[in-house]
Amino acid sequence: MSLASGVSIQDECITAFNDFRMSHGKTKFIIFKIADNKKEVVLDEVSSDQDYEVFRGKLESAQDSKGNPAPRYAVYDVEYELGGSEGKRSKIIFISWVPDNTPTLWSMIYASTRENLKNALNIHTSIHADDKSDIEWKTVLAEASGGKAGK
Amino acid sequence: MSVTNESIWAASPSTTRGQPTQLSSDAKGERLAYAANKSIFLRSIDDPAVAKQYTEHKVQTTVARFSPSGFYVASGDVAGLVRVWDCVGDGILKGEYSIINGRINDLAWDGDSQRIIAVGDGKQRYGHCITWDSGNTVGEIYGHTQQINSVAIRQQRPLRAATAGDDKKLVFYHGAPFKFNMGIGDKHSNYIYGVGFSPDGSTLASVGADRKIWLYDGKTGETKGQIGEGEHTGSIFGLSWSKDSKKFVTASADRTVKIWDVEAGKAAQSWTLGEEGAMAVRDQQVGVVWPPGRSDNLLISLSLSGDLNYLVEGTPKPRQVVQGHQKNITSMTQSVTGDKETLWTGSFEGRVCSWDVASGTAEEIEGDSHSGYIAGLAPTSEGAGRIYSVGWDDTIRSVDVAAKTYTGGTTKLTGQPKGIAAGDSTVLIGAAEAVEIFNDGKKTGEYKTKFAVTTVAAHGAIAAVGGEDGSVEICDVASSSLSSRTSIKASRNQISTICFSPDASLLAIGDLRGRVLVHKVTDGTLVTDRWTAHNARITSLAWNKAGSHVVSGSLDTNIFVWSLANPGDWLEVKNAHKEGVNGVAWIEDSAKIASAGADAAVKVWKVEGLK
Amino acid sequence: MNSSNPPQAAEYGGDEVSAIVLDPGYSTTRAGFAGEDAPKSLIPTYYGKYNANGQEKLIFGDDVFVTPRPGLSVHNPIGKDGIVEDWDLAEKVWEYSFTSRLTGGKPGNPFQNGLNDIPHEELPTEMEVETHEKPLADSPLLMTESGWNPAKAREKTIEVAMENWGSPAYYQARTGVLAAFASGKASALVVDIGASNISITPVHDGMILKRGVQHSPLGGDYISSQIRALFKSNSPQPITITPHYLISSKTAVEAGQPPQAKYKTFPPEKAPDASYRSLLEDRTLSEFKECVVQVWPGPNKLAATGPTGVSNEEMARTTPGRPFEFPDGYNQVFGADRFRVVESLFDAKAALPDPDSPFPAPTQAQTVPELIKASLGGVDVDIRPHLLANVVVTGASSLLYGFTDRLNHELMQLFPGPRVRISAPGNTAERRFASWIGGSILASLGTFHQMWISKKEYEEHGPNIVEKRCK
Repeated sequence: MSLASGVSIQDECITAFNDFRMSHGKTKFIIFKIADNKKEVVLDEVSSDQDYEVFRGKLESAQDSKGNPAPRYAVYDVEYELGGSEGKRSKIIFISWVPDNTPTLWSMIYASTRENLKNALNIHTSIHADDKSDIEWKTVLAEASGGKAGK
Repeated sequence: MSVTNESIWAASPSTTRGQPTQLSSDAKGERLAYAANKSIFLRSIDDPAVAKQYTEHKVQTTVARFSPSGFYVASGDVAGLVRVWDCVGDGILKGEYSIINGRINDLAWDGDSQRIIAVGDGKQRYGHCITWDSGNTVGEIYGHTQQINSVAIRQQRPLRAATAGDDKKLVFYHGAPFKFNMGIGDKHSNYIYGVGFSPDGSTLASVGADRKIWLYDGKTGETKGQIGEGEHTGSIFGLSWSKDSKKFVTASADRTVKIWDVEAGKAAQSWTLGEEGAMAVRDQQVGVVWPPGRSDNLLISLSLSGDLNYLVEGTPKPRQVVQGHQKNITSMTQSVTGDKETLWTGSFEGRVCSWDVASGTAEEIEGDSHSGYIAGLAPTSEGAGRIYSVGWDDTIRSVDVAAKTYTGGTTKLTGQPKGIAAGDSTVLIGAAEAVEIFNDGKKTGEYKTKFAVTTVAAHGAIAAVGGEDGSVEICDVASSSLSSRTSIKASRNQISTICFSPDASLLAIGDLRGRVLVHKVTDGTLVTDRWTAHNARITSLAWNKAGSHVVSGSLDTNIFVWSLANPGDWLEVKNAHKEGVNGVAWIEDSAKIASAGADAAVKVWKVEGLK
Repeated sequence: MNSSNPPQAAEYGGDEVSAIVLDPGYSTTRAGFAGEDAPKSLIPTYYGKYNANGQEKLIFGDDVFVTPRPGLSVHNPIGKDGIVEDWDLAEKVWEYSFTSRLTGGKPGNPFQNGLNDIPHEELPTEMEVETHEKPLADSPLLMTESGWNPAKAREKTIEVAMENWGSPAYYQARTGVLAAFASGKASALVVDIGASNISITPVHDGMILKRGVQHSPLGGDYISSQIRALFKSNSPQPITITPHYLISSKTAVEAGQPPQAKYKTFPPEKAPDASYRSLLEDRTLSEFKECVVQVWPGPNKLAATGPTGVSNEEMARTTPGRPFEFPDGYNQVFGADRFRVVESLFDAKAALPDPDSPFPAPTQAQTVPELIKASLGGVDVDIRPHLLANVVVTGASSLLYGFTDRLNHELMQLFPGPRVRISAPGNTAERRFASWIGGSILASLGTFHQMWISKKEYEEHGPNIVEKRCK
C-alpha cells in the first residue's frame, strides 16, 4: 500500500462513471471533487455538453468555498480522427486538475487521493494538469491519441 | 493552419583571431559549408539568402566538409566529435565518431568519399583515420608533438595524405591504411596552418605563420621548393587549389588574398580587403575556398569579421560581400520606408545589421558602434527614419535608416539599459529603477518607478513598463515625463517583454517563466492567461497587423503563434533557433514571421490559414 | 515558526487525535503537531558533549550554540549519507525535538503544552528527562525518511517509536512522496537539495521508483566547504571566519581592510573543541549563502563560452557584486566568486580545490544534472516525459538564488525533446519544510486513520510491518 490520504470514493462516483462508459459518447464528461469535509470524493457535475470549451471553462473556474482556485478530478470522452482509413476513435481520459496556485492543503489532499480514484474507476490514460496549457484541447487530444492526432 | 520555414538567413562563419577557419564548397561549386557557433550552415553561393542549418552538435562546431560525392557532410566540434550526415535530404546522421579529446581543427575526405581523416588538438592523439560509414580505423596519424591544424588527402591512387600543425612539421602518409611515411620539419619556421593537394594530385602545398609557401611532390612528398617569399606580410591561414591544378589561392592576416601561378612561382593577383588603413584586424583573411565546378572563376575568402568576400579572378574589387552576425542575435526590430521593409538586428558583441526583407541580404551598420551586447533596438520616424540602439556599453546611439551608418552622437546612460521603446516623439529606456526619456537623442526627463524595471514598450503616447516583481505600469507619455494610468500585477514572475497591439487597445506581456498574458490597456483587465505553453523566458512578442494574433519567441527555442479568438489553439515551431529565440516580428503584411536567435541566424516563416 | 496557536483539529477535520509529525534531517530536525502550517520545533540535529565533574553531559537543541563550555564537542548521530549511525543519540535528539516544545517533560496533553509556550530561556538546558511514562503515549507519530533509508533502519525506527516512546500509532512516509504531494502531484521527479545530500526521487502514482533514486553528498555542507575553500584563496586577503563567541568588540572597517576587532581567548583547558567552533562558523556560512552566493543561471556552465563564444565568466564578472560583513567586521564585495562556490553542483570540474576539505573532489556523476540523468535512466522510458514535466524542487539549499533557473536550462539542454517544467514553491517555509508540511496535512486528515500502523498490529507482526505498510 502506498501512501494515501484514505479519502473514500462515494458510490455515486463509480455508478455515474459506469453510466458514462455505457452512454457511448452521449455523456461527455464528469467532474469530481473532494467534499469540504475532506472525507470523500463526490460528484460535481455530469454533462453531455459536446463543446470542450464548456468543460475547460468549468475546470478553469472551479473554486473552493473561500473563493480560491480549487482542484478537480475529471473524466472526458475524447473523440478524434486518425485520418486516412483509420477513422474515428474515442478514449476516456482521466484528468487531475490542480492549478498551481492551489493552497498546499488541497494540493496535498488531491494528490494523495488521485490514485485511489483512478484505480476505482480503472482508467489508465491520465493527465496531470497544473497549468492552463495542460487542459487545452490540443494537449488533451495529444495525450488521448498517444500523439497521433492533433499535432 | 500552418507555419513553415521559408528561409534561413545564415549566421556568418565563426572565426578566432590567430586561427585558420575552414570553408568548404561542394564539387559543383553551388554551396558553401562552414561552422558557426553550434551549427553547421550549408549556404547557396549564388543566393546567400538560401541556407540549410544542421544543429545536432552539442558544442561549438569547428569545421565542415562536403564529401567529393556531394551526398554527405562531415563536421567536427570542440569536443572532438565528428558527425557524418546526409546533406541532400534531412540531415540524417550516418555516423558519430569520437576522434580526439579536444578541438577538431580540420578534416578531409578521400577521393572515393570513403575515408575521413580528422585532426586537431587532442590529448592522447592529434588525429585519426576512419571510414565514414562505420568508423573503422583505416590508418594512424602520428609523428606530431603539438596540435595539428590542417589535413589533406590526395584524391587519386596511390593514396597520400599530409598533416601539419603547431610543431612546424608536415607529416606525409602513404595509404590506405594511412601510415607515417616521413616528417618534414625543416621547412616552416613557425606554425603551419594549411596544407592542400592539387586536384590532379601532382603537387602538395603548405602555408603557415612564417608567411611561407612550400611545394612538395604530391606522390613522393619530396620538397619541390618555396615560392613567394616576402609576398605575404602576415600569417597565411589557408590555401585552396583551382580545379585545373595550375593555381592556388592563399588568405593572410595581412588582409590580402593572393592567387599563385604554380609554374611561374609568382603571385598572379592580389586583393586587399577592407578600407585602406581602417579596422585592420577585422579584415584579416582567415580562410579561403576556390569552389570547383564553376564557370565564373569565383573564389570566396573569409574575413575575421565573418564577411564572405566574393572575388573574381581578373577583377580588382570583391563582386559581393556577404555579411551577417557571428554571435547571438540579442534583439530585433523592423522599419518600413515606402515599400521597403527592413529588419534590424543587434548581437551580443555589439554589431548591428540591417536585413532587406525582400532579398534577405544583410549589411553591417558602419560607424561608431557599440562595444557590447545590444540590449534593444527601436525605430522612430525622426529625420528620415532612425533606429535607436542601446547596449551594455551603457550608451544609446542612432542609425540613419537610409545611410545605414551611425549618425549623431553617443549618449551615456545612467546604467545598464533594460530595453528601449519608441513612442510618437520620445524614446524610452528602461533603467534600474526608472525610465529615461529621450527626445531627438537628448535626455529630457526621467520617471522613477516603484519597482526594478525589466522592460519597456510604447505606442504613440502610451507606454508600459514591466518590473522584476511581475507588475506592469501603463503610463501616458509627455515629452519629459510619464504619468501613471494603471498598474497591473500581471504575474508572479519577472516581466520579460511587453508589446502593444496595433490599435493600442491590448497589451501582450511575457514573463520569465514562459507565460504570455493579454491585458486591456484602458483598465488593465485580463483578456487571457491561457497562453502558457512556453517553459522559459519570453524574449519577444509581436502582434500581427489585424491585432488578432500574437507571435512569441522564447529562450526555450520555440516560436508559438497565438490566436485571441481561439486561445486554446496555437501554432508551434519547435527548436526554431538553437539555444533560444531572441526576436520575432511580422513581415510582409503579416503573412510571414521573421525570427532571430542565439544561433546568430535570421529565419523567415510562412504563416497560412490563421484562425 | 514559533506559532503559538493550538493545533486546529476541528478545522483540519481531524478527530481527537493530535498526531506528531517528525521530519528528521541531517542538519535540523523538524517536529510539530499535525495540522499546523509549520513545524513548531526546529532544532539542530547536532548535539553537544562535555565533561562536568567527571560526568559526561549532553546538550540538545539550540542550547548547543549558546555557551562555549570547556571541552564542548559537537556530534551528529546521523551519517553523511543521511542514515542514522548512532541510534541511542538519534533517539535522544528526536525525543528532545518533541518533548522540548510539543509534549513537554511529562506526557499527556499536547494541547496545553502547545498553547503555553514556555519561554525558550527557561527551558532546562540539559536533558534530565527521566520519565516513567513514555513520551508519546497519547500521540500517533508520522515520521519521514529518505528514499534510500535501508530496511533495517526503518525497522529500528518503528521500534523506537512503538517501544521506547510508546506511540499508539505510527506511519513512516518517504520525503520524496510528501514533497510531490505537497505540490499537488502524484507523479513527479523530486529534486531535494538538503544539507548533507542532494537527492533525486522519481515518484510515480504516489510510489517511489526505487531504481531511480539517486543521491550524492553535494548538499549545503558541501557548498559550505567550497565557500571555505574560496575564503582561503580570497584576495585581497584570505578570510578567517571568527564566530561571535570569540569576539568581544569590533569597529567598522572599509571594505577589504583587515578587521579591527578585539578577540576573546580561551586558555586550552577552558576552550571548547574545534568541532564547536566549526559548527558556529557554519552559521556564518549559512548567512553568506543566503546573502551572497548565487547559482550561475545559465544557459551553459559558468566555465563554458555562451552561445556566442563569449565566456560566461566574463558575463559573471560584469554583474554587480554583493557585499558581506563577517562577525569580526571584515567586509568585502564578492563578484564572480559568488557563482564559483556553487558551480560544482552542476560542473564537477569547477570545484574549488581544497586539500583540507572533508569532501573529496566531486565527480561529474555526483552533480545534479548527472544524478537526474541516472535517475531517469533507472525508470521506464514511457514515464520519463511525465517526470520531466513535473520536476519538484525542495530542500533548504535549493533556495540559493538562481538555482531553479539553472536547473531549467540544464534540463532543457539534457532533454531537448520533452517539455521540462519545474515547480518550486516561492514560499521559503514550503521549500524548507515541504516534507514536514506534507506529513502534517496527511496526518491531520480524519481519513488517514486507515493508514496508521497501530500498536496492536506492531505487536502482532513485529517491526517488519513497516516494510509492508509503508511502501
